[in-house]
Amino acid sequence: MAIFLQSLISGVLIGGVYALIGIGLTIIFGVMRVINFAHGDLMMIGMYLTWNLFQYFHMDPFMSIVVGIPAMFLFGGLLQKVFINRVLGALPQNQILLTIGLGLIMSNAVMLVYTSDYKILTTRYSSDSFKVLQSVVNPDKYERLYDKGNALVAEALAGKGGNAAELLAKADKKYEEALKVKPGQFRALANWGASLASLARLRQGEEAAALYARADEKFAAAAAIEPGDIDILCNWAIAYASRAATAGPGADSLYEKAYEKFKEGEEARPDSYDLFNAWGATLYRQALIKQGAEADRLLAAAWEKYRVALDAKPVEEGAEPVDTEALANKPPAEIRAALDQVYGKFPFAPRLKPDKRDAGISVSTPLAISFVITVAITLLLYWFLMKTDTGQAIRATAQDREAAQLMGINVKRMSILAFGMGASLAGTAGALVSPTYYIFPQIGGTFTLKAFVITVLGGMGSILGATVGGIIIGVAESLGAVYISAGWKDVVVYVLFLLVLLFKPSGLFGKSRV
Amino acid sequence: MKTILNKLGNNRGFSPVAISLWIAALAGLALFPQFVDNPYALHVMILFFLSTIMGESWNILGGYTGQYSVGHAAYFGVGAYTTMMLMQYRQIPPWLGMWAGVAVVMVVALVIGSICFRLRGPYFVLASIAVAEIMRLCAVNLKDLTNGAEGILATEIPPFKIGATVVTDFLSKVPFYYIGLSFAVLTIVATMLVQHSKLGYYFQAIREDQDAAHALGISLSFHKNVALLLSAGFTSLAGSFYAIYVGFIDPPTVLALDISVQIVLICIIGGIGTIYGPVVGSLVLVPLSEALRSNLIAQGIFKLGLASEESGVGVFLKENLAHAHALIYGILVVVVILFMPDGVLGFARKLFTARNRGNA
Amino acid sequence: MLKIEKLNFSYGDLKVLWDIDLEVKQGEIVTVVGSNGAGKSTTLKNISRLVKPSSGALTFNGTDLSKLEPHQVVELGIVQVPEGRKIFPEMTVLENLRMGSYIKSSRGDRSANIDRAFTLFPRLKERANQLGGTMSGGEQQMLAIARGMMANPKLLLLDEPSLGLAPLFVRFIFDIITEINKQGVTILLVEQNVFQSLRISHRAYVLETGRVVLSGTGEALLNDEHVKKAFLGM
Repeated sequence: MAIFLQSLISGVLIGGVYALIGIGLTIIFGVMRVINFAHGDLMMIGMYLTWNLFQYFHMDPFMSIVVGIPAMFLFGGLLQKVFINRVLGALPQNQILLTIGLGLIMSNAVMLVYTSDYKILTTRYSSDSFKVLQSVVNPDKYERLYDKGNALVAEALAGKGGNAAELLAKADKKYEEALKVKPGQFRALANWGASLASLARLRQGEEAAALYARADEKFAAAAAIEPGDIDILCNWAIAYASRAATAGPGADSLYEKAYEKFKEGEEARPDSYDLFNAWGATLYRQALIKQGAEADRLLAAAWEKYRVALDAKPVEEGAEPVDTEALANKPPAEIRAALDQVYGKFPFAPRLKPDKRDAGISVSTPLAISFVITVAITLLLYWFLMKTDTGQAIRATAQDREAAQLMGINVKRMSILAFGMGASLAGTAGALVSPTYYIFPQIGGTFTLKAFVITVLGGMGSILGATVGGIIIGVAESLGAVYISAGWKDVVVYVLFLLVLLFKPSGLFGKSRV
Repeated sequence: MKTILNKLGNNRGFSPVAISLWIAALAGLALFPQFVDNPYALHVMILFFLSTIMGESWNILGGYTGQYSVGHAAYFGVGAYTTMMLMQYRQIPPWLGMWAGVAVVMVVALVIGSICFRLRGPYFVLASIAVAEIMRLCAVNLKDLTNGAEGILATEIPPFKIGATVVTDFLSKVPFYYIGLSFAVLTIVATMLVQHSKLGYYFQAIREDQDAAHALGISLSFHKNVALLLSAGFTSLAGSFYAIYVGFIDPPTVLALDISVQIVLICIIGGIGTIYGPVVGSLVLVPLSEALRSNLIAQGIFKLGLASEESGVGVFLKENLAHAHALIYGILVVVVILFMPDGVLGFARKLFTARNRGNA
Repeated sequence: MLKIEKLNFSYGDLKVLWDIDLEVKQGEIVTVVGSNGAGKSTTLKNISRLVKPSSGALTFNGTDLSKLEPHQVVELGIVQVPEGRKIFPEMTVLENLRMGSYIKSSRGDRSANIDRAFTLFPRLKERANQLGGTMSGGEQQMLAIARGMMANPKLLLLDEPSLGLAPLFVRFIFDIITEINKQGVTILLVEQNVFQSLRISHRAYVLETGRVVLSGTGEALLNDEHVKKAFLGM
């Protein structure tokens, strides 16, 4: 059920973009009775336009339609005026071939300039997604309890004393319940351990020791399920380190245990900034209770870990990477001073990780944005065609070209408008999919075929048909990919297409024109 | 309708001039490899024959019968795949395999025909594309049968023997040259025979006006299917020939929409529905796209001094022009459709008659 | 007002009109009668510039029509109500009427003109939101005429408005034409219904196989022996 809904929703979202392509083709066909075989190539031009605006002007792909729509409109109008208008009375096959030729020119001209390499347009949100219907689809008690536990711990850690103990005690109960609902969840176990260790820090004597023992037990259970998980090991080591701080004479053996966990973590992931940073802080802290050479040795080790951490640290945008070589071989006094700065206020607090979620349906952010834009454009288009004089004149031209001329409508101008609109719709579709698709000169062909399938399905010339047809094809593809296979999903679409051609050639919303 | 049939019937005779031109051309082509042993020149000639076969075959369905199939890649590709698969996996030599290919293609064509011929005009065009795409996707997805997207590489072509005598071992381009030439001649002669037969007149009647033809008692579905079978069969031969000559096939090179479009373009550029149209189309297209592919055009631009080889433009042209050889197809089609809707041949004929009139 | 001199026209190799001379004066109802294929509709199409003549001069109030596109002819004030009505089938009655006043000069009068159309044809008011394609032939003819009037025409060209209509309805349509003419619109009517159309015409032309064979006042032609024999079955 969840998989079905998931693919249904992504099908509808991508179907919105398909609808735009289909509407463009159907407007052109409706007004000119010309099947535009260059439609996908117009979309490809839109993709490259968006890519260029993004690459050279840092324009967001969704914002770029502000430039793309008028630019593609002019381009389409020009194509109509210079080429298509000349063959309006010609044989349909010659019209088809002319548009095929124009498509070839477009794709090959783009290839000439940009080569056939795949281009990728990566935005901040290209791979983002968000959840919907969490309380309806796979609602998960475990996840809620787990989230609640994490929230309580986070609140306690941020609250600095006060009712922290109370919050942590509550968190203790939540994790316990969560693991009762769904046993063996290592994230819950690890976070439970961290929460117990934090609580132990606020207690003294035997009570603390018992809490630490329980924490140890949870960490061990978690690590047994997911050995080598860096977050478990890090939190475990931090728990030892913070315990050592109050342990007095037994501190050294606890520090050793912490180092053991850090080492395990290092073996699993030798490039974790968090791990080495915490490791360095721990060494520094042990050094503080030592004297002389012992302290210097620990400080040097801490410094070493700090440098490794810096190497592993992701460099922030615009910042210069730190030259860690230059930091090597410093005299002990300098190291001490530097470490005081870096680790003086290290919190030794656990970092809680969210678990992977099953509840709800994940929606790709770029697809969702593009769908919203699609809906807005479609509504605007309907309004234009239904309510304005020019829009009605375009519809009139599509319904009866000669009668439209007798109304004083300049049908050549309407044709230019129609092709311009078709081109800008195709270009917009190109812009909308550019954050999620590879961009290359030959991508048009696939979309031209898709556009045909959509318009024939909905009925050639019917805008409502193209809208519905686009959604149907999006859903059919998406369901086909899940329930049949990704390789065969296009076959599903073409077979659907042939069936419609054979049994209902007028499409779902069209008048029979065969 | 009757007048059309009569008019078409008058072309039956072959003039002595035409026959002697034919003999001269054939002799020249047959002797060509004796004088030219440049493998590249032979390669271009082989491509020219291939293109001619493809164009002539399409012409039977598209040109004479008026059914604009933009899905002929299906027949080209199925022929190529059958021959290749039989050779690689069953050790059946290609000169037998290609006839098996023709048989398979004809069966496929019958199925396709029974679906697509129920449709007319643009709907037929769209259906033919969809069917060819389904074929391509099948070739990609039926990995056990076709080796999927990786395609099939011919490891070795068995030598052609009659009895114990080795006629050729296919090591040079010369045997391919003669096979290509004979297939091209075969296709042209077959097309001529069809054009001047009763069958051909029926085809042309269907092209001129389906409903009128039907009213005269011509069975539309029967004759369209016959035209398709002939057309698909010859296209399949072209596909097999291509597969063996190049030695490698995969779905994008033999089953893609580009191939279907290219086949139509050969006829459009030369002149649709004429015997020599596809020949002229190939004569224009093949050298032009080869010149682009091998960067002759870029070098020509440098030689003429239009751009220097070292300049930005020069480097750009040298690096990119070869990849965009299909650009010339696009430009040619647009020019032909807008300015010579009857193709180069029709345009030349019009010029010729106009000049003759001027002289008279 | 409208003057046609030596108009010749061919469809490909087939010559349809031969040296047509025709004139319409301000305020008149002029009828062109003739049998099927005589070239009546083709003449109107030439005036509206839907087809281009092979030779001949067409002028409207002194303006040469030969360089104009069809929509510019409408802007001059020549509006044609075409044969077969050519209602926009997927538009409502109201939308069809709106399209009638598409040209800029008539948009200001749109609501007044819609009121006038509804007064002339109350039936259309009842059907205001019905799709054009779903109406009966008679209703479509009313709509076609009403739509033509929306552009404030100076000259209204009517192509076979009575074709395929019931006799009672034919009378109604001709009454409406007379009414429109009284409101000051000049009318050029093309008809096969010779009796009814000659009855309401000021002047008329008889077209046979692409040539004008007779012309005169409506009354005179009604009494003409040739017309009686050829068209009225007397």
